[in-house]
Amino acid sequence: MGQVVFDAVSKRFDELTALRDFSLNITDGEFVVLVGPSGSGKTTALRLVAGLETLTAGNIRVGERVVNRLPPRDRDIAMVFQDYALYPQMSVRDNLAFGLKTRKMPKDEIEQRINRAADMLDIAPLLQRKPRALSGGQRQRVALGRALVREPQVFLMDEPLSNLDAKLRVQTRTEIRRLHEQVGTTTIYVTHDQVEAMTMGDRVAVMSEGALEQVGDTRTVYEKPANVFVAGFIGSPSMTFATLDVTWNDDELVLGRGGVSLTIGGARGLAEPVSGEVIVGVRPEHAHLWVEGNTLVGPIAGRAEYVEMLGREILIGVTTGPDQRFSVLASPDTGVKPGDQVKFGLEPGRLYLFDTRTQRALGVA
Amino acid sequence: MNTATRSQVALNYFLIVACSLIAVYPLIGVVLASLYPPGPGSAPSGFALPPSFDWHNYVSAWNQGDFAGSFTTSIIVAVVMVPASVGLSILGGYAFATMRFRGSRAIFYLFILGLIIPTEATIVPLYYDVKAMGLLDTYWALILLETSGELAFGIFWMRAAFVSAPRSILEAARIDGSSSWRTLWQILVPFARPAILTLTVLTFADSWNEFFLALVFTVNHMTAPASLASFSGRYTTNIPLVSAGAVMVAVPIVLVFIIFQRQFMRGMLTGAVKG
Repeated sequence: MGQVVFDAVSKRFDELTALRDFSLNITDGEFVVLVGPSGSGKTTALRLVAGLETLTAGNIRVGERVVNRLPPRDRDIAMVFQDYALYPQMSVRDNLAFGLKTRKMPKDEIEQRINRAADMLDIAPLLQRKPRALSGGQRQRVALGRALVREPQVFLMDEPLSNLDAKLRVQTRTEIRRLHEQVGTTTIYVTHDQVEAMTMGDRVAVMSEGALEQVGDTRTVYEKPANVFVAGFIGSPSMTFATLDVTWNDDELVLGRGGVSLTIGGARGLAEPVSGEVIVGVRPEHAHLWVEGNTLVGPIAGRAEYVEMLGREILIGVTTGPDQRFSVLASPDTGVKPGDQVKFGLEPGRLYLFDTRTQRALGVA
Repeated sequence: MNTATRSQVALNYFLIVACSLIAVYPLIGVVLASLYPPGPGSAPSGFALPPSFDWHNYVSAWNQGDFAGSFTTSIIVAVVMVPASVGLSILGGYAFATMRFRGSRAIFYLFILGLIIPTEATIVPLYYDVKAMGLLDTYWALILLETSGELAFGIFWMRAAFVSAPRSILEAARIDGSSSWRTLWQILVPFARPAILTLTVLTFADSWNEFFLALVFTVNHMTAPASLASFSGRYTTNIPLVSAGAVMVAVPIVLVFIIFQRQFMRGMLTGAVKG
């Protein structure tokens, strides 16, 4: 069936290592999103599965077969490209039929598949048109249709929404998910947009500089980031970090530096012993303006550097010392302005601690 | 946004009309001269209209210059050479644009060298080669030499056209199971149609205008321009007759340009202007 296995895969382009010892198991029918910034190797990984690049080391399996040396046409995959890559001189119908004709499929079978895909994607009225007579969204649907008619074991999607405007992107996101639920084909989806990754994937594989940083379901990746990179990359507005010194006062963990001093009773959830200094990560939604009598850890005092209006909330960037900045989400009614002195606290059990040297997660406190 | 003022537009039109006149002036002069009464005493000049339109000049020139034979040669050579040259240029351009193989860059530069070296520089060894092959004074001498002569530019031109095709389209075709051959003819050639048409017109013009090779390699298989040269050599003083011959030789190229004008311009502008 349509499982995809990356087994210690590496890819080098001359001096540049695009993918380093990358291992990932994708089960049949799963929707996995490879997410990371530019140059993280996510597109390279996808192109290796497609057979558009040859790997330097390791193995890739699609279904039961090792496909390392197979040409793209024999891998039983279909790909949706960022720029759609429709054949400009062919009608939509011919674009859909092209991959089936090259496989010498009987005409009535081709016709059936095209009609089925056209119905699913609502592109039946466009079948006679040329790609240049289509809008961006329609082109994207045709590109999806071209993959769909092939009925492959695996769909590969390379940032398919990045050329669409914001509203259409959200719509098409839902449509791709719905399509996946309908046909149940294994899908590997590449994006640099973590919101897209979080909303679409069964599992998310976060990549950076050619390496897999963490893979897991969206909730795990969000709530239990494996390291500083994942913690900072996943989540919007993103997590803020401050390096603080650790002291223990019996059972109490005290994190402090400069004007900041946080006392946390009972080091809850700490997987590893903590000493010296740590990187403390705080998501903006876990930092609140200080109100007397609340149960937050703090208070921390600082100066509001900027205030961003997000709509329902405002995001306040608070500087608490040299190289120390926290983001706080608050109600617009609080009326905080840039330059104001503010006091805020952090939700207990929501402070992410990371090793300063390895950047690995140590636990939450 | 169009920001050209009226005076700028007027200046543009003035320049276009002036340049067109400079280009067209000698041509109109030749056409008018070709209609003067024949004979050494007839001395047409510039745009002066002839006293009477003597269309018979064309018949005389056609017969006396044996243009029937030279037109036949030119047509045969063009009919074989243009498809051969364009076809080979498409294949060569495709290889250089899409395939990675050892020495591809060096071989490509070798072809570019063909653009730089003039025919005159290689004509003597070429003569002995053609003679050794027993092809002197045959259609094949012209066809083979012209075809190979056009390949340098043709491959350069087609490579540029194919390189401008989005890489993802070629990759989509590979995933769709298309062979290299099918990708070329069903995807890239339709994509590069304007460039191919332009190359065809340019190649035809080059073939039709072929003078030097015909002069060196043929005696009884003269091309139209070569026979025009010998015709004008014989009738240097009969300007109307020579002009009529010149007009006839130029007509096929003018016709081809008129027919393919739109596609020709599109091909020339491909890549220069985002479509």
